[in-house]
Amino acid sequence: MSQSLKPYLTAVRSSLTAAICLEDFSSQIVERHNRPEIEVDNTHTPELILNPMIIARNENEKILIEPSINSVRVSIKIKQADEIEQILVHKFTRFLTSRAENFFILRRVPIKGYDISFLITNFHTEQMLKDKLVDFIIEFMEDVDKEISEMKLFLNARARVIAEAYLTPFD
Amino acid sequence: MSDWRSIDIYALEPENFLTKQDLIPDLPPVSHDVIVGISQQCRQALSSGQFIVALTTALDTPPYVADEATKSLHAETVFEVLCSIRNNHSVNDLSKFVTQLDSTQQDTLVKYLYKSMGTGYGTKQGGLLLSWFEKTVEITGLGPIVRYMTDRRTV
Amino acid sequence: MLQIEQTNLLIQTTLTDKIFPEKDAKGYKSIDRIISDFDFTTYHISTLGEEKHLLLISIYLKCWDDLESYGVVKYLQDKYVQFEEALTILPSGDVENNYNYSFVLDLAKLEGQSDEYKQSVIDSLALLKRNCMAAPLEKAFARYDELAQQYANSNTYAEEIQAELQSEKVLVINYRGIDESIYIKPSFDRVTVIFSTIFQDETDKIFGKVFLQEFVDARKRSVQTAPQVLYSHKEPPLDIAHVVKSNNNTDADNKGYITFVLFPRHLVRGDKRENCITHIQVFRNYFHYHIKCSKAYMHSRMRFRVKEFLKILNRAKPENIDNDGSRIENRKTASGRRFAQ
Repeated sequence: MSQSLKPYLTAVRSSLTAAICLEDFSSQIVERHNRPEIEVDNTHTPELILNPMIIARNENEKILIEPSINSVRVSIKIKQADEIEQILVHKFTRFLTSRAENFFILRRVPIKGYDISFLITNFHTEQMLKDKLVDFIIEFMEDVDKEISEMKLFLNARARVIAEAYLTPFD
Repeated sequence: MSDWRSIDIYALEPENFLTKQDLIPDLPPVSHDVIVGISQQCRQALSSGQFIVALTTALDTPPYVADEATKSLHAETVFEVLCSIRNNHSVNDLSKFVTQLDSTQQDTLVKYLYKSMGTGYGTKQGGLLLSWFEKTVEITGLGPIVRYMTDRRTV
Repeated sequence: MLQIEQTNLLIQTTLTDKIFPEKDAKGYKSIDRIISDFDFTTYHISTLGEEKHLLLISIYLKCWDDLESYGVVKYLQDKYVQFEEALTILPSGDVENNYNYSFVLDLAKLEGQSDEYKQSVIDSLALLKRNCMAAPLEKAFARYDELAQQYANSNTYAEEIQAELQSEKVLVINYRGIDESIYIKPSFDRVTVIFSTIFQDETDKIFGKVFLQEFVDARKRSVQTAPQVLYSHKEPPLDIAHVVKSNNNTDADNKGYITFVLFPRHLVRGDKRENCITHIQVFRNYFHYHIKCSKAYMHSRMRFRVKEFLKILNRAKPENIDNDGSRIENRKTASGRRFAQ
C-alpha cells in the first residue's frame, strides 16, 4: 500500500462520518415534499447547504463531499494514469451506474469532474447503518483501484501471450 | 398552537427567504493590507525558526469577511506555514504542534486544511496535507470537521 | 482456444457426412446448406437437382475481383486438379449465381477411391477460403524469388536499385470492403504484408494498441525468429501511402496499420512457405477475436466485482442478511428457539 493511501482513507472516513448526519427535512418551498436539498436549486434556501469538503491525495485522486441537511453527495475521482486505465475506469463506472437501482445510494450520473457519485439521503440512513455505509464507500475506493490495476495487468499479460502464440508458428 | 393569534405570519411569506448574503456572519471586514502584513509576520517567524508562533499567528487571524483574493492569500500563508513545519519535522512531531493549539485554532486549522485540498497547489501536496489532517483529527476528534461544515464563518 | 483454425469446420463435417455415410444409409440424400466464414465469405453446398450424387460447392468472397487479378483461378486450378477424377471445376460461365467459384463433387466416382484420398478431398475443400486468399500471397512470394535472383549479385544499396525496389508494385486485397485491406509488397530480401483495420469503438482501439505493442515487442523479447511487426495509427506506412484509399476520412481516427516484414527464413519454399501463407491471412481475425475475448473477460470480472460491492453495501442493512444479500429467515437463539414472527 502506498504511503499516502492510509491518511487519505482515514481522512475520507472521518469526513464522511461527520457529514452523514442527516435528518428528515421537508422542503420549505414545495409543500409536503421531501427533496434531497443538495440536489435542488437552493437560491431560496441557502441555509440548508453546508460547506463542501474536498479531500485530495493528488490531482488524479480526490473526493468531494457535499453535505446538506437531509442528504450528502459524495463524488469520487478515480486514479487514471494512462489511456488504458481511463477506458477501464470509464467502462467500470458505466457498468456500475447502469445497475444503480441495486445500489440505492449510487447516483446515475456523476458530478462533472468526477467519475462516480453517491447520493445518501436521510431515508438511506434510516434504513441502513451509517458506519457500514462509510465502510462501503471506503472499501469501494480501495477495491476500485485494485480492480483497475489488476485488469490492466491482465490485459498486458494476455496481450503478451497471444502475440507470442501468433508469432511463434511462423518459424 | 394555543396562541395562534400571535404567530408571525409574515415570517412564513414565500418571498421572505434567506439569501446567501444573509448567511455572511456579522463581523468587521478584514482588509487586504492586514493580511499581507500577517503573511510577512509569519514568514519572519518561520525564518527565525519560531514555527509555533507562525502557526498561531496565521490561525488567529482568519479573514472571515473579506474578498476572495484576501481569503486565498491567507490560505496560501497558512499552507506555507504547514509546508514549512512539515519539511522541518517528522510526521509524528505534527501532533505536538496540534496539541499546542487551542480549540478555536484547531477548528481554523481544519478549515484551512479542507480549503487547501480544494486548490491546485494543495492537490499537488496531497500527502502533506493529509498527514496534517490525520494528526489533527487524531487529537481533536470529529468536532472540528462538523464545525467546518456548519460554520458560516468560512475561510 | 488460442489459435483460430483455418479449416472450415462446417464444410468438413458436411462433406464427411456425405463422403463417409453411415453403413445403413441408402442412396444419396439431397442437401442445401449455406455456410459462412470470416470476412463475409459464404459457401453454398447443394445437390444438383435429381442427381443426388452430384454436390455443387460454391464460394463467395468479398474481394474476389482483387483475387482474380492476382491469378486466383489458376492457383485454385493447380491446387485442385489432383482430384480431377471426382472434382470438376466449373468454367467461369457456369459458376452458380451470386457466387464466385464453383466445384462439382461426384460422390459416386469418389466411392471407388481409398479412404485417404477421400479424406484429402475433404481437407483441401475445407481450406477453400485459405486457398483463395493464398493466391496473391503466392504471387508476391514468387515475385520475391525473382527479385532475390535478379539482385543476388548486385549492390542493393545503390540508389537506382533502391528506387527500382521502391516502385515495386503493391498488391492490394480489399478483403473487407474498402476500409480494411491487405497490402503486399515484395522486395529482394523480404516481403512486407500490411493489414489495415478499423476499430469499432474506443475500447477496441485501446485494447488493440496494447495488443499490438506486445506484437511489436514480442520479437525483441522472446520470439526472435518471428517476422518483424510494426504498428502505425491513422497514418498509412510510406510504402503503401499511394495506394491507400478510404471512402470517408471520419473513420481515419479508428484506423490502424499493422506491418509484418517476412524475412527469407519464413519464405523457404515448401511447408514453411505454405504455413506462412496460412498463418498470416488469419491475422485480422485472430487479433479482433482476442480483443473481443478480453472484453468479455473484463465484463465477467466487472459483473463479479459489482456483486461483491453489493454484498458490502448490504451489510449496511440491519436486517439479517447473509453474504449474498438474501434475508436469513427463522433466526434462532443459541438454545435453538425461534424468534416470534
